[in-house]
Amino acid sequence: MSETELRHLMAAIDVPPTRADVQQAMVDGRRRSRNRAVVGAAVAVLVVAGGVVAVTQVNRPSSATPVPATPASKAAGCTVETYKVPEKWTAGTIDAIDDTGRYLVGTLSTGTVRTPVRWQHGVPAPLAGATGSAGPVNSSGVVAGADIDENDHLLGWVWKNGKMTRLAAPSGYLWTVPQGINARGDVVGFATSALYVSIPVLWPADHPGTVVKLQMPAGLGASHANFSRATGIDEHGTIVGVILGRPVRWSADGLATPLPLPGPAPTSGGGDAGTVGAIRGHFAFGTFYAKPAGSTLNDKSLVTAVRWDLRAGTVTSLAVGHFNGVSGAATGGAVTWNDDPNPSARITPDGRLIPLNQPSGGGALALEMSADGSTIIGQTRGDSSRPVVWHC
Amino acid sequence: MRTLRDAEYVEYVTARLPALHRAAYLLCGGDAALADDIVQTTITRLYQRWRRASRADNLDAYVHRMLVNTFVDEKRQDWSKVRLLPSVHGDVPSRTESTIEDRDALVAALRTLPTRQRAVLVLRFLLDRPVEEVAEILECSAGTVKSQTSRGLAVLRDQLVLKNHAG
Repeated sequence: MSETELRHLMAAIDVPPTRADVQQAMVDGRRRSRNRAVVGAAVAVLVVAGGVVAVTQVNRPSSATPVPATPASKAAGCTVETYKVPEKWTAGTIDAIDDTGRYLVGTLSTGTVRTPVRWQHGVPAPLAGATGSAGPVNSSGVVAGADIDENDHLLGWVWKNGKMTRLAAPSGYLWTVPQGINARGDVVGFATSALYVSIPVLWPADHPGTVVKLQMPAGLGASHANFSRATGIDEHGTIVGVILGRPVRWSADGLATPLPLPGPAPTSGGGDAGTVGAIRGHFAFGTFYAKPAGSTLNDKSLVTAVRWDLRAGTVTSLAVGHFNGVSGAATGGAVTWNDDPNPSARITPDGRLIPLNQPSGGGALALEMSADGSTIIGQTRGDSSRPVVWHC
Repeated sequence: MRTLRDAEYVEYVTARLPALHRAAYLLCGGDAALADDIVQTTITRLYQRWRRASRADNLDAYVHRMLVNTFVDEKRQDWSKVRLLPSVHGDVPSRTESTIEDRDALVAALRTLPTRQRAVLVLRFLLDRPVEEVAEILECSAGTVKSQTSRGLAVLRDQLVLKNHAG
């Protein structure tokens, strides 16, 4: 297509009416300018579990209405601490935690440069020889991660004993993205082609430099709107992931079967039914993009946090809400996050939703938990994200 | 209307709103709700900076830059939140985008592009910003803008051809 054609097409497409509100913009604009003058930086000292003292800093004033500072306490059974980020870095995250809770890995970034680190006692140590962003980590401290090039393409790697090895792309594919790792160091994820077709793959620990394409349904067209990927793997070689928008499992001998859903899959738009993440114990956790069958709730944007029991082959609805992410523990409990002002909650194994206490400054997302559910990792939102750890 | 300055702001934004909304809609791959959020955030920030902004040489360019930065930040946040973990991935169509109805083949095709590539095409061909300015807004080189443009056009071409054949 020519540039002229694209210009015409873009100008001509039918867009739904805007709901922007100019008067409201002025009201909000005036209010935020006032608040900025009032909220300043403050330093609070928290004493957290284990007697380690962590100094936290209230986040730089944002344009959101300030949240009243909550004291660090054992409210709801958890303490929360925010880690500092060394001065030359503008943002820091904890991206993953292993089953034992011993390894917390994440990324420091300046906006253009990223470096993967291991966090210990609130202090980041670089993964020597690795660059880019950290991803999943196993209980031997093996980390899978990726560099992001200037075109936002991911070039995956696995880091073990101080050595970084590139994750191989299958022939015809360019980019690799790790998503899950097991105790042996097998990594699963996806590979992407130049036309942005993504397929689920496995990188076996035994054969570094090789890649295995996981079974996909025959007759697969070049469908881009649903991307297929593997997201979790356990010690037995069972893998979970998503094929064309549908959560699936692959058995150790490579056969793909759909995971059961708690209700009819949504039919509108791209038709994604849901997603599934890492395997913890014999459970996998994820999100179903609709309400469970029989629900009388009215809101069409509600999703269901779900837990699959991979041994029994069953699915359980844990909670219904506006979850962006769900991640769980071998106990059957989970954490969720969304975009609300106080965005994170724990779900107990029997399905009770308990909001997680927020650090002062609020806005902390809970992303993953250790296998026994006692350590939860996450980060504060915004450009200057900071790692957050809950001990429950 | 408190001041003359407010009146100027309202007049400017009201006139530009359709174009901003169209740009946001394309950037967001047809997600009207997200597009509304992005436009609202942009015009609110514009109000806060109006005194300075209204004196800019090229106010339209300034506002386009704000809009795209708001969009990219939104995507970067998704990305920086959970970079390599299964629940969310910023580089590929997010869950909200995939439940949007395909109002238009172009919107659906744009949705398959990574966000940065979408931003390049919208900035260049809907908002008519020159290559150097696009490079500055997206913090990349002019060469990258050009290669992203040709790659994006090629993918769109293939997508729209595929769609036509699939019927």
